[in-house]
Amino acid sequence: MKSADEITTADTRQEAGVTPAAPARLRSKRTRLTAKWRPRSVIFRTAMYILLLIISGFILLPAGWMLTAALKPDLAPVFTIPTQWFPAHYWQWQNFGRVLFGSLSFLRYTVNTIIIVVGNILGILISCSLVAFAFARLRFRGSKTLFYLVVVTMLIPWQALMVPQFIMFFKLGWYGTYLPLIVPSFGGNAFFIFLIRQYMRTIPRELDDAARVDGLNAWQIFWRIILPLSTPVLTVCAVFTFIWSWNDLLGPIIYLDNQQTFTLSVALANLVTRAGTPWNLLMAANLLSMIPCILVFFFVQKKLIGGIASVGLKG
Amino acid sequence: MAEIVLEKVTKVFRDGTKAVSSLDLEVADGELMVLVGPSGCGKTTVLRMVAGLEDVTGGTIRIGNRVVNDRSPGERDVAMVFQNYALYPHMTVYQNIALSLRIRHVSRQEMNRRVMEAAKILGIEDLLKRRPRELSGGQRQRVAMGRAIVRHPQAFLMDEPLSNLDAKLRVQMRAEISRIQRDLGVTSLYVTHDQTEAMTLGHQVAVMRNGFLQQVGMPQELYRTPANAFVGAFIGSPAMNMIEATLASDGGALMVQAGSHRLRLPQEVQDLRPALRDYIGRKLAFGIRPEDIEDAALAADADPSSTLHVKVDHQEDMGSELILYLEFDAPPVVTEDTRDLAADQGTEAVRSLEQQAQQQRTTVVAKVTARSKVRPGETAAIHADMRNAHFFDLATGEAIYGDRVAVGARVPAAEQA
Repeated sequence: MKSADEITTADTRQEAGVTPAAPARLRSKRTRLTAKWRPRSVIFRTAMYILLLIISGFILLPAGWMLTAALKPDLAPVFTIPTQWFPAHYWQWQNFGRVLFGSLSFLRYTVNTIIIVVGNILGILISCSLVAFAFARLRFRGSKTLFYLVVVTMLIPWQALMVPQFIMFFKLGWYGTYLPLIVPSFGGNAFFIFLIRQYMRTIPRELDDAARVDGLNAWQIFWRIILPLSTPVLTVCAVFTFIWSWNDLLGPIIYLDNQQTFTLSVALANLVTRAGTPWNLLMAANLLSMIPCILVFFFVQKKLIGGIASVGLKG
Repeated sequence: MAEIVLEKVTKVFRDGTKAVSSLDLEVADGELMVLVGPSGCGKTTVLRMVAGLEDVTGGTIRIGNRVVNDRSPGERDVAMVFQNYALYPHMTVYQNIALSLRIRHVSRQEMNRRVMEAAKILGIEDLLKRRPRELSGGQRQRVAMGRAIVRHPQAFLMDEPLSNLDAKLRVQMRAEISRIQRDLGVTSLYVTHDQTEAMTLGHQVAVMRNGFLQQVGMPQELYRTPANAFVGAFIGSPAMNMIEATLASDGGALMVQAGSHRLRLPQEVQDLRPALRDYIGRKLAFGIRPEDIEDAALAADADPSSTLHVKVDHQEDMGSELILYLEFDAPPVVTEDTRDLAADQGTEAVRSLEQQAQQQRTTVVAKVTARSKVRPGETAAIHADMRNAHFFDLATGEAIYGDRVAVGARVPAAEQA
């Protein structure tokens, strides 16, 4: 005997003697050619695949060319006509090793970049989530005005801030360190604050009410309820920060003077000199610096897609 | 002692809306008080004020003899069950129930014991590792109750907990809530818009409307002796029929003249309502419940002075009973009360009310036994049980009884304007 919970529509329909009309013969004929293999759909899907292959080609071919170039020895011509998209004659894999461990010490640059990137991500996540929570959930006088003010700062172009910021950091004695590259992210970022706040607003307020009645204070509501439920948007912010930080050239160029502290972007840029560019090594270095980005993307895909599936609530 | 006392509680929102006006309500220790009323009457606001989720603009709220106006929800030692359950989606059932204990740094053993105890009462022991999205509506409701029970609070506050469940489940859960509340003996304040829930669950029922308390008392009191037309029509399903009638005197007896029908009032009604004497020759609202109208052929004690011959417009055969729609040639009662109640049912009901008023006829609903042979289109002999007749003043809506009949704490109509 099923409990009230388990009784489903199918059961009650069965009891009522109503079953979906399905003449037996017609059904067996149809099932022979399932939707997947019907001619129209095969053509459609083939067309889709061809289109996707073309687009992928546009994206992957340059990478293929980079690989070709990376595998060439030092003085081999790189910009050939016709363009060589795939490695053919040369297979000098040790170029990668030279780039990482040799005099070019790209491993060190990678480590430097990672330090800055991780610092930035932490700073953004901590500061922006707290501020967004305050705007999304806490009620205080002037919160609307303050929020608009924060959003309005997005209008200020970084070019206008560049020089005053530099002067400030120089006077603080932070020139040559990583501090000017990491600390500002602890001050928040208007775009991410906006993004996270909008997301938090979709979290039902009843959860807050229930938490308050359970005895949680504002911090506990943030830490135990809202933050865990905001993982999708936080992941997005982290990924954006990672990509931006990893590729950032301007910041490190302005604030770093010691070659040992350089980041990948600076190092790559420095390879292009007036005295000639070792293209094969440059391409190898570029390929290597792309790998972390790709890895991050793969890791994070699932998290981004697994939304809130919000069910503490009915539907 | 964990009684809930509301004294002159008022709530005015920031935009000026007065949601609750000077409410006086007392919930005795261990009692289940149902706050019922149409949407927007302020009942949920009252509940949220007791919970601490809304600030109180005026008046005091006492829980267990302590004034709690300035205390945060967590400090009030109350637990709340929400309409949408409000379970934390990222936690398991166990964690959902245990959170309030974790926050209070209860020892792991004690926490485990209490969670298992609550789970046992509700029959959800094997759901503890699941997440809310894997549960059915009824199961989620039970987890929400578990979360409330585990704290052993001084009071339960329930905000329409059953309105999101389907009909069958609702009946089952209603019985469970009643059983749990009785077994645990926790003072409870239960908000609903469903008068059936109010009648079946509550030890005491308080009817609210537009922020004012209309009447408070036992369900039977509200049913038999409503304090005003609103309560009379709100409680009971199908709703009480309200007909405009005139009171006449025939010898010593009082007669109700409704359209072309003349009904005699039995002596006991005249004794219960001495103030009716003041209405002789005047128009008033005559209320009669559908269940008090019966097929004269099948009524045991039908006497000709309360038998009418009315045309049957159409009927609904429910199987267990027959709902007849009768054509009375008397106008319906169109006051603010009845219009509000019609509006609650939808624009169709309002239009129908106005139409009937224009045509000076009322569709009277009668609930007769299924054995009745009355058919639509005929003129049937109908018996109205006048012992249960209700009378209300047309202007104020107040019920007509006598000088001082205690009908529970409420604000007189004059002050409600």
